[in-house]
Amino acid sequence: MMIVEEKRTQIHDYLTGAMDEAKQQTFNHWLEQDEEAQQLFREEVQKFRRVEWAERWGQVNDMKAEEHWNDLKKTLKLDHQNKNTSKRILWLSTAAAFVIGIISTFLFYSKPTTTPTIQVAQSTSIKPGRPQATLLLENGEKLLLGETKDTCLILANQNKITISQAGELQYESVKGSKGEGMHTLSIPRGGEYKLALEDGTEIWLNSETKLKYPIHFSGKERRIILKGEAYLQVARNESQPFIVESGDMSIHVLGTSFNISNYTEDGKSLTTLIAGKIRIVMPDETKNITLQPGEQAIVEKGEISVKKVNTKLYSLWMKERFAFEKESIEQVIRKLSRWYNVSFTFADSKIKEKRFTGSIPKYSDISQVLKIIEMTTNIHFIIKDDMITIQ
Amino acid sequence: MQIADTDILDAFKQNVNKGGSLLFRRYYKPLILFSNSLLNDDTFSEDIVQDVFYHFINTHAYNRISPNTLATFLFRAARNLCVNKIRNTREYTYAELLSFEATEEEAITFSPELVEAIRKAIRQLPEKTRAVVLSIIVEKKKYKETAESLNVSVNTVKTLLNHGLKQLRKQFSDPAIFLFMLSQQSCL
Repeated sequence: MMIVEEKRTQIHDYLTGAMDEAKQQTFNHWLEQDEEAQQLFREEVQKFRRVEWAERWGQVNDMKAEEHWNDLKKTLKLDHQNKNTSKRILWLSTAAAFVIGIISTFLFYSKPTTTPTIQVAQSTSIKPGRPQATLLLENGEKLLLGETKDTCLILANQNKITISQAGELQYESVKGSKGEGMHTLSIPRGGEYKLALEDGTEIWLNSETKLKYPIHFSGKERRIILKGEAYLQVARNESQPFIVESGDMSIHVLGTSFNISNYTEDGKSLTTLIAGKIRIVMPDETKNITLQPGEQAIVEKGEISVKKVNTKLYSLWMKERFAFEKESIEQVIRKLSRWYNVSFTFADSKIKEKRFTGSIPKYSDISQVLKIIEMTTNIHFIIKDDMITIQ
Repeated sequence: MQIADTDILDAFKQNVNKGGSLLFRRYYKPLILFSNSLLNDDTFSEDIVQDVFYHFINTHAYNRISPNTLATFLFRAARNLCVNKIRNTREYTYAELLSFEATEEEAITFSPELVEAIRKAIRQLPEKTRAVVLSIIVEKKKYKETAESLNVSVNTVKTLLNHGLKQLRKQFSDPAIFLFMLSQQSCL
């Protein structure tokens, strides 16, 4: 039995970051079991916060509050202009619950034969990517998903999909629905999109990426097909393993978070495991490999290798930043060109081999991003229309 | 004078501009400090706080909320965003979850008017103890760094931290402050 004082010391050790990982685990385990410790823990956390906040109160700049309020006002005004359309969408979405099939008309609608029109960034100012995707339905119809939010769609066969307030596409399982088909979500250059499948699996899709998945997961396994880059948080369900097919390999998953980058132009695919466990299955079964968290599998020309990596580099893109560590300029540029939908040319191909380390804000103007790279390397960029030359 | 939650919501009813301005004046700082604490990182809090306010105004949440639950709503929204952010990179632990809960409770009762009282209580601590408390909790220095900069042993640092926090607890339960905090809590 530990006396209260000892417990308190343990708690302080934890809160001040004095425990290594093993000790933290023991601590977590102990805390879960011991109710008195939980109460003490709460009290100590609260005292820490009270001291921290009172002392740092003066450090938060009041001016910033005003600045941010002004920014927000601008953003909200934008929404004012869109008010009519958003109201219409909401109204129609209610109607759609009654009129089957109406969905295809109020989102941007195009016949399967026509290619969707994607707004082209003005050639003088290159814009960062934004949420956009084309959803190909099982009957061949196409929906263009932009920044529509808070909408509910009922498809012809009683399947329900929702676009949440955060602008994320969500599939819901409906009792008795017998949707058999597959949907395909395509993200163009300069786009990104988030998706939640019927089983609760969340998937962030990066630019120039295609994902094919069943509307419902029936049968022994959950199988999806990916090309491009995605970050997945797979909902755990041991009785129905999750399988991602990507190029030649397939990735077998129980429940976990990981990132896959498999662009044809990159010539290799990178699978990075953040948490949990995954198994990579190759056409040649002797090459199958099980990954541990923090490891990355590289598949290049049918060969597979594994290395330890900083997983942050592969899991920041679905947030606000691109992060690179000693990455070749060629690879950095490829990523930027997909996101900003611009072309780059190298004045001298030797530059491609130069390395860049740093993280870049994803939603900034491209000139700022290039400036960051210029600052840390001796590379220069010349922007002309939507063509950028690297010297 | 502290801005009351009722005033903020009333202002929103008159005009969103007026309400938003009061909302920022009252909650910007507490939400920033709160998110900093949860994420242990100052870089993302501004975005999180901006998201909370954006959502609050854009969905007209001010029409559906009562003054009693305004603080809870705002801190819970910020907490959810922080938890999502963490969940995107790794799994969080039981201790983290519990500390989030405790932090949220504290944020709801913490008010700008308490700042001076708490700072005063800290200033009344013996010199070495105060230095340890500030170094560990505010500057987030490790035991070892603190021990080196104050020229004492790590064990002394631990003892002084414990003493300091205990004395502060007494100070925090000073009748005047305590009553004030109770009255804040009863609003929930």
